Amino acid sequence: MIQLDDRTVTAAGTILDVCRAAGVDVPALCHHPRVGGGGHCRACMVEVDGRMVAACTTPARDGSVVVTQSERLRAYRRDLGELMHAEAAPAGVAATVLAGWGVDGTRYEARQRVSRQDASHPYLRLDLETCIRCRLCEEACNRIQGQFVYAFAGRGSETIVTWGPDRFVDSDCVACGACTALCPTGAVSDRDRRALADEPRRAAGPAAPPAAVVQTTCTFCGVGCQLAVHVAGDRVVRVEGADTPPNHGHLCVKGRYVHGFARHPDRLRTPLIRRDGALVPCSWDEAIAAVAEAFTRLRGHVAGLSSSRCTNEENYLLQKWMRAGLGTNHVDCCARVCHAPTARGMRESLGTGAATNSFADIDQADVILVAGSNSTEAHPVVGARIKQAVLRGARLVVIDPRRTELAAMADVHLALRPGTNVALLNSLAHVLVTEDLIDHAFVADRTEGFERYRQFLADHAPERTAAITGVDAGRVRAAARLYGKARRPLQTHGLGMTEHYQGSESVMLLCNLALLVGGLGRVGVGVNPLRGQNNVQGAADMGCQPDLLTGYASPQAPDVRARFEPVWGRPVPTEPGLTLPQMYRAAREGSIRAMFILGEDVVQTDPGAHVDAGLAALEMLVVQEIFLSETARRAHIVLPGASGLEKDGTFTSGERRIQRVRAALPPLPGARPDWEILCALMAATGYPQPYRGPADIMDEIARVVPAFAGVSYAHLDAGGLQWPVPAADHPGTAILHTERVARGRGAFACVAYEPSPGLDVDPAAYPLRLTTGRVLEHYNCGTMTRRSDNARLRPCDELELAAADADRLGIGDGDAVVVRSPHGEARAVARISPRMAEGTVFLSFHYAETGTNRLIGPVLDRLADCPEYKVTPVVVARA
Amino acid sequence: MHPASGMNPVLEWARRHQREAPDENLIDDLRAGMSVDQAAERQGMPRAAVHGVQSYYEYLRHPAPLRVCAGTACRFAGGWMTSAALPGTAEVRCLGRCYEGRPCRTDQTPAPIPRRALVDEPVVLRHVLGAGGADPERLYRSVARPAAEEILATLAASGLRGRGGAAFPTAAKWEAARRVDAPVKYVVANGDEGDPGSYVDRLLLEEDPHAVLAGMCACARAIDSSGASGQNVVRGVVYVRAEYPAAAARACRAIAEATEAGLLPPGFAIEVHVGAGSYVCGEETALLRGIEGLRGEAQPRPPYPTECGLHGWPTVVQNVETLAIVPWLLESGRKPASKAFCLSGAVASPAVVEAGFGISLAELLARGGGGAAPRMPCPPWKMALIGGPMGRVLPVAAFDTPLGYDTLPGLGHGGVVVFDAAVSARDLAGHLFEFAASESCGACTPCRVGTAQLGHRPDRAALERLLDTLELGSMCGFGQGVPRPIRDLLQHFPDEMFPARGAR
Repeated sequence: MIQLDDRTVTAAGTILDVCRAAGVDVPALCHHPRVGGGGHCRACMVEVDGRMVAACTTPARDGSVVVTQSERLRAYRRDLGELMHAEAAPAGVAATVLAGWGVDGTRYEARQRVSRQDASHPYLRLDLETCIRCRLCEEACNRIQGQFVYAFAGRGSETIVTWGPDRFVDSDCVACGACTALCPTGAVSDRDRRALADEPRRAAGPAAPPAAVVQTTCTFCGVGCQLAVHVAGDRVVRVEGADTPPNHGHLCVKGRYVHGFARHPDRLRTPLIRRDGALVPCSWDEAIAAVAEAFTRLRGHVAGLSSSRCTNEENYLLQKWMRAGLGTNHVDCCARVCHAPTARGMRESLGTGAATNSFADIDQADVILVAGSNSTEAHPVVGARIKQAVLRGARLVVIDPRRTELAAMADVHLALRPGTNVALLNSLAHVLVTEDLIDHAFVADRTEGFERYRQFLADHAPERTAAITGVDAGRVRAAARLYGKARRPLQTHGLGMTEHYQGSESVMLLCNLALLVGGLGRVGVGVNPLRGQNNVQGAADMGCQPDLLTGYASPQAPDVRARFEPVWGRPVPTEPGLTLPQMYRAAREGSIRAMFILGEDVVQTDPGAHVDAGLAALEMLVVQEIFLSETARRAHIVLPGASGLEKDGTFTSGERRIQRVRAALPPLPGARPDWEILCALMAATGYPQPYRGPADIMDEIARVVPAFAGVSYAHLDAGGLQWPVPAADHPGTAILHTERVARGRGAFACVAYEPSPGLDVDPAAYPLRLTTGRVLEHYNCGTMTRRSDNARLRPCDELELAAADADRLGIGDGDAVVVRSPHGEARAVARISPRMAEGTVFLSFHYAETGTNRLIGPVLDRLADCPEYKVTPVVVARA
Repeated sequence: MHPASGMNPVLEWARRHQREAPDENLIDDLRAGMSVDQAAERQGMPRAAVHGVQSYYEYLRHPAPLRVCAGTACRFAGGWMTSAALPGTAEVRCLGRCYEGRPCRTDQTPAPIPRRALVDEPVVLRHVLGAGGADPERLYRSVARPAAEEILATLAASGLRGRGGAAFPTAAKWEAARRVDAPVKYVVANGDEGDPGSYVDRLLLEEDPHAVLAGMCACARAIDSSGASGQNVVRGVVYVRAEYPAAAARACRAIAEATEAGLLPPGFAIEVHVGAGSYVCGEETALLRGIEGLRGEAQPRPPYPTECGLHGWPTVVQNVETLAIVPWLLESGRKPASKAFCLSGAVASPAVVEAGFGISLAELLARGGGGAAPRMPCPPWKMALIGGPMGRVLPVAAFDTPLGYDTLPGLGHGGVVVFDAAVSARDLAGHLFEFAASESCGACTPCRVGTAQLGHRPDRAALERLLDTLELGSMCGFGQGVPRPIRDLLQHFPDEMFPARGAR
C-alpha cells in the first residue's frame, strides 16, 4: 500500500499508474500508455518520501508516502511551466497543463522557439514552434508502427525533432498517423486535425464544436480495425483508432485518412438504366421493377456475386435471395479470387476453413512464418504488429519472391521463384521430419497419415528442390530449424500462397507444417490467413459460395435443409451452383443470362480472360455500387448503394471477429443502404422479407447457424465476438482446435509440385514472371483510395523490376513500359527496385488504366477455382 | 538472443538491416567522414536516427582539424581565445592537459603528466611513480586467484566507493549485476573523464592500462553467475573519450598484449569504444547509449544498468581510477585510504597528487602543488573549483576543509582548479553557465531549456529559482549538479555575482 496525499492506495506499476488509478491528476506530457516513454518533460514530478521524482519512471513501492501537492511542487511546476513557455508556444494538452499551473507567460527569454513548419505531406503537418521535445512522436513511430521516421537532433537547447530529409514528404513516413494521435501539442499533426480547429494554438476560446463520435469497423482490409469516426453534420471530419482490439488505437494511411470518398461528387446518387446504349438516371421504382421483371423472366439463368465489402447481413440476404427466392445455388463471392483456396485447404486439413488464432497471438509467438503476404502494405496494422514482435525479439521467416519490408528484416528470407510454393513447403517439411524437429506427441495424438507423409517427403530434400525454387538449401534448413525449434510457432499467410494453380494444396502444406510441430490449438501459434477484404470472411461465412449455405452447411444434407427451410419458407435448391469463373463461362455459353453483382468491380479485379466476354453476353447485368466502376459502366441497371460509413450491420474480420458496423453518416440522398435495396428486390421478385433492420437479419442468421447461435447486436456491442459463439452467454472463441483438431485428426496432405500449365510457354518469348499485389496507399480497384490524397502519395502504377533486368532490357527508372503476356497487355511506369529478384516483375492491380488483370491467364487453382494471379509469364519493353 | 527487457527497437532494426555486421559502429563511420545517408545504409540505421547522432556529438557536429581547449584551466590561463577568434578551429572541453598552464590546442604535443604522492604507499599511482611500472602478469594473477564470492567480500570489506564522482559503493553495484541471471553481461570502464581539471584517468589509461584491465577482469569474474558451467558470457568495453587519443591507443595495445599473453579470464574479450565529444557521456546511462552508437543522452533510472544496461544486458559501469585500485585491493586486502587529486590553475607546480582522504585543500596545494604559482600576488588565491563543473567552489577562507566524500559532498572525481583574484566570481559563473549550456544533452526540459537561460537571469532570486528547478527536476546528475558550484559562488561572492544597484 501507498499513502497518496490523504488516502491509502495499492502500489502497482509506477507512481504515475498509481495516481491515475486513484484519479489523482498528475500531468505527464511525455508518457503515453500505448508506448510508455517518459522521463523527458519532468512535468509529473511528485514528492515520494520527501524526494522529488518523476512519477512516470518511478516504480511504486509499498510503504511510500506520495505527495502530489505542496508548496515546493507548486513553485517547481510554475517555473518549469515558464521554461516550457520559453521553449514552445503553448498548445494542446501542454497548454492546458500550463494553464492549470497558472502559467500564462514567461520571465525567461523565448529565444529557444523554433519557427519551422512543414506542410509538404498530403496528411502530416509539422509546426515545431509548439514542440516540447517530449519524444512521443518518436516513441509512437518506433513502438507502434516501427517506421523510425523521427529522431531528435542537436543537443542541449538546440535539441529538436528531425525526420532526416529536408521535406517531411521525403521521409520514411507511411502516414499511419500514430504520432499525430499521441503528440500532446499538435506540433506533429495532420490535415484533419488542423482543418478541425484551424490554428488551434492561436485560438483564444474553446476548440471547435464537439463532433459526434461513432465507433465502427474499417473497410480497407480484413484486419477489422475499430474506428472512432468523428462526424460533424453530414461530414466525417476525422478518424481515430478506437482503443480496443484488434488495433488498440492504431490505424493505417487508408483507415485514418481515406474517408472523403463518402461525400465525393462521383458518388452514385440515382439508379441508372441503359437506354439506347447509354446509362441514364431513372427512379428507384423503375429500376427495381426492371430488375424484377428480368430476373423473373430469366429465372433459372440468373447468378449472383456478393460483395466482401458489404455486411454479413447483406451477404446473407443476397444468397438467401438467390437460393430461396430465385431457386439457384449460383452465388459466389470474391473469396473465390483470393482465399477460397485457404478455406478449401484448411477445411480439408483441419476441418475449419478460417484462421485458427487471433491477431493478439502475434505478440506471443517466438517464431513467425509469413508466407506469401506483404503484410505491412496489405494489412498494415497486422504488419506493424509483426514488426513490433520481431523488434522485441521474435524470429521471422518470410516466404516471398520479393524483398518486402518484412522480408528485409527477416531472420531468413526464402525468396523463391513465383509459382514454386509447393516444392518449397515440401522441402521445409522434409527438414522438420529428417532433422527430427517435430512434436511427436502432437503428431501421434492429433493427426493422421503421418507415416505415408514421412515416406512421401523422403525425396523432397531442399538440396533437390533448390533447382525448382531457386532457394539455397541452407536457407531452407535454417528456416525449418527456426520454425521447428520454436516454442510458439505462428504462421500467417496471404494470397501469395493461394492465387496459384496449386493454391489450395499449398495451404494444406502450410497446415502440414503446423501439424508437424504441434503449432495448433494454443496461444501464440496457428495457421492464420490474412483476409484481404474487410468482410471476405463474412461473405463466405454467410454462404455466398455455390456449394455451401450460411455457416458452411451443405445444401444436400437433409438435416441442414430441415434447419433452413422452415426459416426461409422456401425449399433450398440442392443442385450445385457455379463458381465465379464458371459463371463467366456459362454466360459466354448462354446458360447464364442475367447476373447481379453487388459491390464488386470484376472488370478490373478479375482476370480479363474470364470476364469480358462473359459480361458482354449477358442479357441483364445489374450492378449495385457506390461509384460508376468499370463493371458498372457495362451494366444494364446500376443501383446506388451505401458506403460502409452510411449503414448498419456487421463485418467479420480475418480473425473470425464479428464486429459492428455503425452508420456514421446519414445516407447519401438518392442512395440506399444495400440491405434495403436487396429487401426491395426480394419483395419485387415475390419473396418479401420481414426485417425492420440489420439486427433482425442477424437474429435470423443466429437461428440457422449454430456457430452464430449466441450472436446478437446486444452481445456484439461489447467489442465484437470471434465465432464460434454457440450461446448467448458465450464469450466467443479466440483459438480453434484447442481440445482436438476440428476434423477429428489433422490430415497430412501429400502433394507433389506440378508446374502450372500457365507457365508452359516459350521462355524466349516471355522471359519474365509477373507477380501482382497491393501497395500500401491503395485498396483493391482503387475506387475509394484513388479518390483521396493517397493518390498524391502514389499517383500511378509502377512496374517494379530488378536493376539487372532493367539494364538488359534498356529500361530506365521512370520509363513508360508495356507488359505483354500471352493473354493481354498492360502499361505502367518502370521502377527499378532492390525489392525485386532478377527475372521477376511486379504490378499492383489498383489502377484500371494499367489493366494488370488483362495479363492474367485462364489457369485456376485446381481445387478451388481461384485464378492464378501470382505468376504469369510476361515480356516487358519500353513503350 | 535477446535480453528480456530494454531492447532498443532502433538497434534491433539496424541489426536486421545491416548487410553484414560492420566492425565499426555508427559513431566511427561518421567520424571517418561518411555522410548521414552513407552511414545509415552501412549501419542499417534509420536516416533520422543517424542525423540525431551526427548532430549530437561535438566531434561530428563541428569537425575541425584543430581544436582549442575551453576547459576551466585553459580558459583562465593567460592568452586564451575563443575558437571563434581562430578560424578553422573548434572548441573542446577538455583535453586533460590542465597542468600545462597555458591554453592548450590539439596541434601541440602534450607535456608529460607530472605526478607525485603525499602518502607513503600510493595506490592509484603505484605503477606510475618512478621507473618500472606494473608487472602485468602479477596484476592479472592477483585478480584471477580469488573466487567470485571472495572478490565481492573483499570489495565489500574495503568499503571502496566509485571515484568517478558519485561515490557509489562498488561491491553493491557488482553484487546487483551478479544477482541478475542473464546469458550476457558487460563490464564497462568509464574513461570519459569529462570534468575540466581532471586528468588522472588519462594518466592511468596511458601509463597503467593493465591495472584498469585487470580491474575489469575482477569485475567480469565477480558478476558472472553462471558458475562452473561457464555458459554465460561477460564482455568488456573501455570507453575512452575522443579527447584522449593516446589513451585510446594505449588501451587498445594493452588489450592486445593481455589477450596475446593469455592473461584475460577465459571467454572475456575487451574492446575499446572511442567517444566523440559529449560531457554527459560520463553519466553511465548516457555512456552506454554512446557505446551502442546512439545519442549519448541520459536515461531515466530505474532500470539501472546493473539490470538493464548495454544492449539491454546487466552492466557494471566503473570509473577508470576505481578499476585500477581493484587489483591492489584484492592482493593486499586493505582499505584504500588515498585518492588522486588533479591540481591546476594558480598553483606553482600542477600535478596528479595522491593524498589521503581528509587532507585539507590548503595542505594539498602546499605540499602537492608547490603552493601558489610564483607570478601570483600575495595572498594569491581567491577560490578553487573542486570536482569539476558540477562540483564545489571553496573560497580561500575555507581551504582548510578536509577533502573526502562525506566532508565535502561534490568532491567528485577530485579535480582542483585554483583561481587567483584576477578571476571574478561572475567570470567563473559565466564559464560554468556556458559549460552547462554547451554540454546539456537536451533530454529533459529543465536542463535543456534552463541551462541556456542561466546566463540571462536578471537578479539573484531569478537565478536561484532556476537553480531550484534544475536541481529538483533534472533527469540526471548533470542538471541536478549544475547548481552546486553556482550556489557556492552566490553564497561566498554575492556582490560579485549580482552587484548591488549603483555599485557597478
